[in-house]
Amino acid sequence: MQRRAEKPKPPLPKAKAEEAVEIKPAVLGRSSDEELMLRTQKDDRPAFGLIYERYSTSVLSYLYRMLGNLEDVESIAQEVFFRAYRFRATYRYPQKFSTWLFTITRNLAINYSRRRKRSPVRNITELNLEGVDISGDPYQVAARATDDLEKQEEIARVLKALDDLPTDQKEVIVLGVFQDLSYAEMEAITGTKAVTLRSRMFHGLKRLARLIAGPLDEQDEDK
Amino acid sequence: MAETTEFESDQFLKLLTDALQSGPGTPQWHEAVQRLRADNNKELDEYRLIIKARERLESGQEYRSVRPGPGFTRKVMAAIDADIAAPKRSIPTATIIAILAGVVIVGVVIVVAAMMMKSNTVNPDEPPSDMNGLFTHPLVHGDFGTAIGPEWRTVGVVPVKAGANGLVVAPAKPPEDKDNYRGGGIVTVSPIQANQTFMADVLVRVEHPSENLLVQLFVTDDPNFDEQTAQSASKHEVVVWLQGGDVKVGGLPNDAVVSQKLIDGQQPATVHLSIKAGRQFLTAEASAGNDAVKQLYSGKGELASDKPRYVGVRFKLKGSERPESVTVQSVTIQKP
Repeated sequence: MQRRAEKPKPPLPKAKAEEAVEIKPAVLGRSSDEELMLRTQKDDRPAFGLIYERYSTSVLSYLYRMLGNLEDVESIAQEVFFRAYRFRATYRYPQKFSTWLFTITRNLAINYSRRRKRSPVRNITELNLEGVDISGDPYQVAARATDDLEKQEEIARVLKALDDLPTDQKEVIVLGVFQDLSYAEMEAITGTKAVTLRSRMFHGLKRLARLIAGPLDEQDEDK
Repeated sequence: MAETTEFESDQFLKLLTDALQSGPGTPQWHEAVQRLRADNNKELDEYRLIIKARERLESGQEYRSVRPGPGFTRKVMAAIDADIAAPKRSIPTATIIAILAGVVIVGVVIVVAAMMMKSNTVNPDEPPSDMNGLFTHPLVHGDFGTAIGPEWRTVGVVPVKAGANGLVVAPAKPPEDKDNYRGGGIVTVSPIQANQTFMADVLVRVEHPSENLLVQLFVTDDPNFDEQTAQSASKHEVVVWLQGGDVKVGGLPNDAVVSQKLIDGQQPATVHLSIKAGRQFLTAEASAGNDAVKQLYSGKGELASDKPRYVGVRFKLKGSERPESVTVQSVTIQKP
């Protein structure tokens, strides 16, 4: 999905990246996330604008998938980008930018989840997000994915069951499957060993598998 | 349920979990599916279902995918621009309070530490506070009326004995060398700790002042004595002695010797010699009869500040002086 098309380019060597400060706006769009962040550290506001364009959907979707409600998603996501800019000096080139950003996102999501238990639910007067109506309904998502009614049912059931998974299993599925992050990246973000993350991925999907009846389709396997 | 460690050691589980992360269409996925087809292990069905669940998730990738609307983007960028435009924020009040509190705590700790260090540090140029008070608690006392007590041991070649009037030099064959002093006396068996302030006082009866028979009160930090002179082997000692009509103090810094006239002519006299010793500070005093006490020295001593001390009295004899001309009537060591 959004992340698959947004794989960052490998970061330039440091010296080369320093030289990249003077590149033209047209070339800016072809810079890696890490290069853009390096420029942001030198107060290049347009560079950060590009980072926002590349990652806003990922961050919003991650938060929506993890928190399951829209009440906090907007405010947390705003805070993520605000903090990423304000604390840009803490980014250490050539650390992978996505790892750094998702660490911020995850920490804020955890903090908000804790606070939310103590504070009343707020009302959203105006929703500033797009795609909520379609993507928030598992059956609509399933219907858009396939015409096969049986598969639609399975997809919808699996998606709905995501919220019932233990948080640690749900997190590794959201990060690994939906955000397309490797185990190494997830390890850096969550601070959990890769082998544990593999186990959580396996057992999380095993739970979802129990919801699906019937044998494995031969043609599905070859996708 | 597979244990976590198996995901490290079991190559197929590693391949499977790689496939579950990377998803359908990837090389890992194809390899895992092919292995599942070829393999007949008992967990095949379970793994196939897991693969199927992963495929359904892949089909549902759109689930809860949201994009920022213009309003959201505007808000984010406005917040960032406002932050850029805003003057640098002053330090929050809570931070200031925390810093001040930290400074106060550190200050208090420093003051207390300084006070404690001050109280533990002895200025060698000033007498310890307990030296100016009264010394009322006896540590050792000897009047030698009948015997030299067990708290003393004798040192040196000049024999001493307890007599009716006190400690005197015992009669002995006159030495062949009549020009150099030989020594003999007594010294405390038990040491006095260096941190114990004390006063040693010796009462001496002098029938007639002499240059050939000296009586010395000494404090040393060396328990070993030279046999011939009865002086501490390291000569690390402070000494007050009577020589003729003069009283002298030796063993002071820079090898200084203090000397004062104490008694006159050939008249018998009773003399007090005393040394007060702290860890580093000492005073030496003397008095004759009912005369006022003369302070001979007051200042830093040469005794080691960390070694125990021994107190003694000795006679230094040369020529053929009559032994009974000087009698040590008592030695008293007291602490405040």
